[in-house]
Amino acid sequence: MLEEVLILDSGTKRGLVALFMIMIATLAAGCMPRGAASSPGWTVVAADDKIVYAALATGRVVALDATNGQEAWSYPLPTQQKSSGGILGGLLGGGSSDTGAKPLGAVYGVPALTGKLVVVASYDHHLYAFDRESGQEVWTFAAEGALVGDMTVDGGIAYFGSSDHSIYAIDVASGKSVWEHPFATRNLVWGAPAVDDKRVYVGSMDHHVYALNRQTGAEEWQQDLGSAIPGTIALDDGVLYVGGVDKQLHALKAADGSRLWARALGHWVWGEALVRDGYVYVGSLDGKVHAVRVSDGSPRWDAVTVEGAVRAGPVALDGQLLVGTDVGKLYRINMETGSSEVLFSATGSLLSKPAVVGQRIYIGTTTDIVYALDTGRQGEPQVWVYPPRTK
Amino acid sequence: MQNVSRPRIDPKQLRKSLITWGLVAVAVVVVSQVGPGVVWREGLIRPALNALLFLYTYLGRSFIVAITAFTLVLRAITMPLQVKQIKSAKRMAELKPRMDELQKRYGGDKTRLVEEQQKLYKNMGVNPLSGCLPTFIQFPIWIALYQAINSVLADTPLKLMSLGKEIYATFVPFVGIIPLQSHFLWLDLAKPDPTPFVLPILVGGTMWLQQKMMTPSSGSDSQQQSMNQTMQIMMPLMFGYFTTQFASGLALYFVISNVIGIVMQWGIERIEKPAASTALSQAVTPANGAAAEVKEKVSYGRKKQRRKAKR
Repeated sequence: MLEEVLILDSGTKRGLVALFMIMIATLAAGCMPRGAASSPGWTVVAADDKIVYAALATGRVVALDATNGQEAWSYPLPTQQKSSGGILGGLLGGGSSDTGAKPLGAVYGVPALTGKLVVVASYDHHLYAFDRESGQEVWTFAAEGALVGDMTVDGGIAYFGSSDHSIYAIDVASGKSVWEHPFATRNLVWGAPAVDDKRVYVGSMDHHVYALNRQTGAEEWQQDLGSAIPGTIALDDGVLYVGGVDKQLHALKAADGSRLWARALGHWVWGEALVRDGYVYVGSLDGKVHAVRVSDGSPRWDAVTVEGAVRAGPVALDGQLLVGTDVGKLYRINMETGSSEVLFSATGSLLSKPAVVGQRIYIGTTTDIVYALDTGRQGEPQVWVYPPRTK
Repeated sequence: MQNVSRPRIDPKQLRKSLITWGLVAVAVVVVSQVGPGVVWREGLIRPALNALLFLYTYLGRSFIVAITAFTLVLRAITMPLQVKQIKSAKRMAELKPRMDELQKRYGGDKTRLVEEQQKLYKNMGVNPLSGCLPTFIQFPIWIALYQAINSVLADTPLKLMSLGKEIYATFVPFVGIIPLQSHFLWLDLAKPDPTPFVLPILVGGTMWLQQKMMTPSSGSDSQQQSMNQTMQIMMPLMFGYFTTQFASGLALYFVISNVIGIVMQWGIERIEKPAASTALSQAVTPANGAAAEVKEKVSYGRKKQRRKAKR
């Protein structure tokens, strides 16, 4: 049909055909989804008072000095990372270091810090445990599906869900499964479980909340909420707080799963709720932050509107909520009054929960950047940024 | 010096052109004010995505059925354009001998050649652009659907979050369908085909067949034939390769769309009356007044056209 366009000679026609095919190839290479394995995650951060551990969106795990952001170790080594960028890099996968290690797949869940290990769950189906001092890989555990979301570590056991619809319990010291077999739900499990001394509570995309025996993984009860549950359940004082795709925040009794109340919040509730002093604080994808009473779900104050969607749950610091949005804004909201201000504007989206240590906040973006902020500072709160000289 | 007579302006054509360019101007103003990204997202992606979810919700929650239904609807909407495209391609093929004749006669004088060719198009009522314009109009729709399919098969948190923001908030039934069931036969529709050849062969093969049916015979022009053959081979091979890289749900969309396109093409060609067996009596009249040779129009179907080309 190209020859119909204009009255052209053969040479020009051939040129147009070649140009058209190059356009199609470029379009396809640029636009086509390559499947989830090569999709980036979002940078997630855990910290103690000395070291900040970050799993970057590109699959590298780094340990940074908490005072100045200097790299203490990196897994894998960054020697060959730069050579595999671009379209070919995307097609061929990431590079390998000289030691044969390769970057993790996408990471979405906050790393867990336990004793001598930092444990990271990856989209490449594996749980990785690294030595906190040296960054050496200690063990890996392979699930049947992609690991998305946080894990909960309690009593030396890591509990986490998987895209293979299952919930696992792994001994952190050895990397071996504690239960006879993982507990199977009917759809993806992307949220971290809540744990008490008897049970493990977890939501699944099959619309159900499950309570499992902590020792055996056997089901004790399940409750159908009618919509997918993508996020982490919060547990406080015997009550479970569960957000869902039905745009509601549900409160369930942990003992038997009976419903206490449900509050419509206007859009998907994904992040883990924060429960403090009789109130529940949570964000929703329509860019609102809500505060409701634990007793009946009635609002404490009118929902605060922020710029951008709120994916991760809020954290609390000195009577203030800290909430990140997908346009890179970090908001500080007074827990009593609901008044808000922008504390910091980052490069990239803030889709993971910040780590709070003292007055310091550490937060990662979707662009492989880690920020250290000091809320007590006058003026600019940024203390350092990794990689350095990037803002 | 010869007087150059001014061309007569057809009022209907003028009106049509003014309306067309007026619409284009309005579109440019709107896009520049609102932003091309917003127009693309709100005008194409979101409607396509939500339409797909709507079909999924009410057609048995099967992604394949939803894709097929959506493609059928899309093809039905763009059918007038496709019919126009087919007709235009046929008429252009019929004019080929006369175009060759003009090329021979006026090859040395480009300006004169263009003039005579335009006269011929006008006399025969053919618009050279009408063949490819439908494709250009459909192209963004296909890309939008492509992106919509990618969005609804949300198999990562980033994609799921994006889906959550794109869904029309007022449509309550969507709550129960997330996440979509993404398995069909051996395929996880959100991931590439684990067997490396089934879908690539289907995509490439159906694309090749559709192209073959759509490309008119180029007569005795071997360069033209060679170019057509190159396109017919390269595009299916390229898309077949790309199929190994992207989500199988998208690959299935291509297969379904190609198959529907083949069936429609076949149907349209059957319904279209064969070109009249009587000669196209309108002759080319060169400026020196010599009568042109009148050719008989003989094409009754593709088989006869091929035999003629071979001769």
